Amino acid sequence: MSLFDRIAPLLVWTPEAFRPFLVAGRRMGWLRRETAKRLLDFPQTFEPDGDAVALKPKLATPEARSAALEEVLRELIAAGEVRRLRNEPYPLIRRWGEQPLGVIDRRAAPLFGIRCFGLHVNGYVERPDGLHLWIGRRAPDKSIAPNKYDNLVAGGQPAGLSLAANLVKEAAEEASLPPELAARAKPVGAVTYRCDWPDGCKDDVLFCYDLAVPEDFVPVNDDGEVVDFALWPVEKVIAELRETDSFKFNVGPVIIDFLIRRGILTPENEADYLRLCASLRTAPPD
Amino acid sequence: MSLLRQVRACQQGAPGGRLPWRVAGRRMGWIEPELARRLAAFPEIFEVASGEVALSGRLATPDARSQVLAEVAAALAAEGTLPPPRGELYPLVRAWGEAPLLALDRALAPHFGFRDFGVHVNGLRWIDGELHLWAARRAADKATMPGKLDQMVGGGQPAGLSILDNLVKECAEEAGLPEALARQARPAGTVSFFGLWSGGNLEGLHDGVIFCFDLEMPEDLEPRNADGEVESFALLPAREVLRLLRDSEEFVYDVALVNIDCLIRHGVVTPEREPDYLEILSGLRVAEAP
Repeated sequence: MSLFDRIAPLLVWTPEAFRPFLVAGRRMGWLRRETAKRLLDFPQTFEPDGDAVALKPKLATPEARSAALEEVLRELIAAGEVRRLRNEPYPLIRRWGEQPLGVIDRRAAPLFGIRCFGLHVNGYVERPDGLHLWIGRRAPDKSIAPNKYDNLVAGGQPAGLSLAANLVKEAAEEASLPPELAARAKPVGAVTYRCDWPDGCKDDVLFCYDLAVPEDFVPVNDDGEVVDFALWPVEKVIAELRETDSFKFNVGPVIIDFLIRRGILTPENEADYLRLCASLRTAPPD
Repeated sequence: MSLLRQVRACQQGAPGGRLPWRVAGRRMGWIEPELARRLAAFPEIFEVASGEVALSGRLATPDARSQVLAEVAAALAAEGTLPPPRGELYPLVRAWGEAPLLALDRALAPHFGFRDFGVHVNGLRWIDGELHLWAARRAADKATMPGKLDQMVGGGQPAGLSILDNLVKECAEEAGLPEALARQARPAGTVSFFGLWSGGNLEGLHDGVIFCFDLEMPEDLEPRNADGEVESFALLPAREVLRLLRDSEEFVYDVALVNIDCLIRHGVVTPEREPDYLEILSGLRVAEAP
């Protein structure tokens, strides 16, 4: 097993299995062919546009689009085809910072293959005996990646919240970090990918932050989403990443990015160094 | 010019009418049609057909390939078609660390359009919490890009030398850094680029990968050039580096990428203040050369 195995699944993209999803004439996502066919059962909301499926142009405002999408989702949930909503509205945007064309519940993001944004915080401690990382273990009842290892703080980026505000909020909920500590997290880049997903596709941008955690601070989860936190020496993190699949699918790449930026992985000690570097930001920048 | 423009200038994506150059069945570079026509005069060595140039399959070993290529390059340098050799051999590889298909002179890179590798060292100082970077002004008589701004240390990665040993050597020659200090440089990732450039005595295709290093410089040590390739050094606040990147073309194109990568990694360029943050990030590394 290699570190590259942790990134390889995020590079699997099979465009022929998908049809574009258009909103206001722009491609905002990708639909699996069977999903596209199913959505056309709702002709008041969707219409075919060549190979694409378009949200009907008469849905001309963000509010109208959001409401129409939610109504279809509720019917799919009632039919048992989609699980319950997560009640987290995600903006319909392709480019970070642009005005959303509408919102859609987080649950349906992979189904519609929309671009999602999130933030991950590498919480590290420089100890006399070496660099350590705080690693969380996700709760067994999480719908995504239960029991898997996670960053100190990680969360999706909902509509209507700045990155900084979301970071402080997630840091408090997930790890009980005081706001003044969370605010010291430093933006250090992003990991991006677009890949096949069982019910659609994941097209994600993860803004990465590093936070130097004081040696005497112990994170405590506040929202039930994390079972416990442990402070791992980076050597243990690397061994676990290499040999197991125990990290959440997109946390491995975030930590590999950290290990590269911090000079823990080097061109001399990691045979796949260049391939790892070249694989951390592969989502097309549209 | 915005940061994004600096990055886009380094991701041109298309080899501009050049012909693929194949060695041992693999596409290893891109050759101008004019040079391809000239290479066709050596049919024992180059097979020029159906829109590509292949090194003859009869040349089965790296040594054999390197030797005949050096002979052809010398002949074409004598007639002025190619530049004279610089006496520094580069390995012909697509991925760093793989066995080279051959070794060839550095001066051939812009003409054969093969991937080359470099090592750049950001010289960092934190003064009152603000990041500062040592910048080098290239000598007015330097072979390429004279007078432009450079990293504190930057150099090509030749064959037969480890990245770290090369870094130590370049740190000594370019900035007079003691070996013990140079060995504290920390690798921090890569940037890569692909495109055609002209100007600054550099004409041709550059398909490059740079190993980026950060080195925290001591307060009492100023870099001092030893090989005549640097005119002067200056310690610039990060915001001045940012201004020069945005408003000028003072930095060599690949140096600009290394600087932007450094400013992002250290949180100087942020997703909240830089509207092109993600486009810049995805442009710092070519996914895979076209």
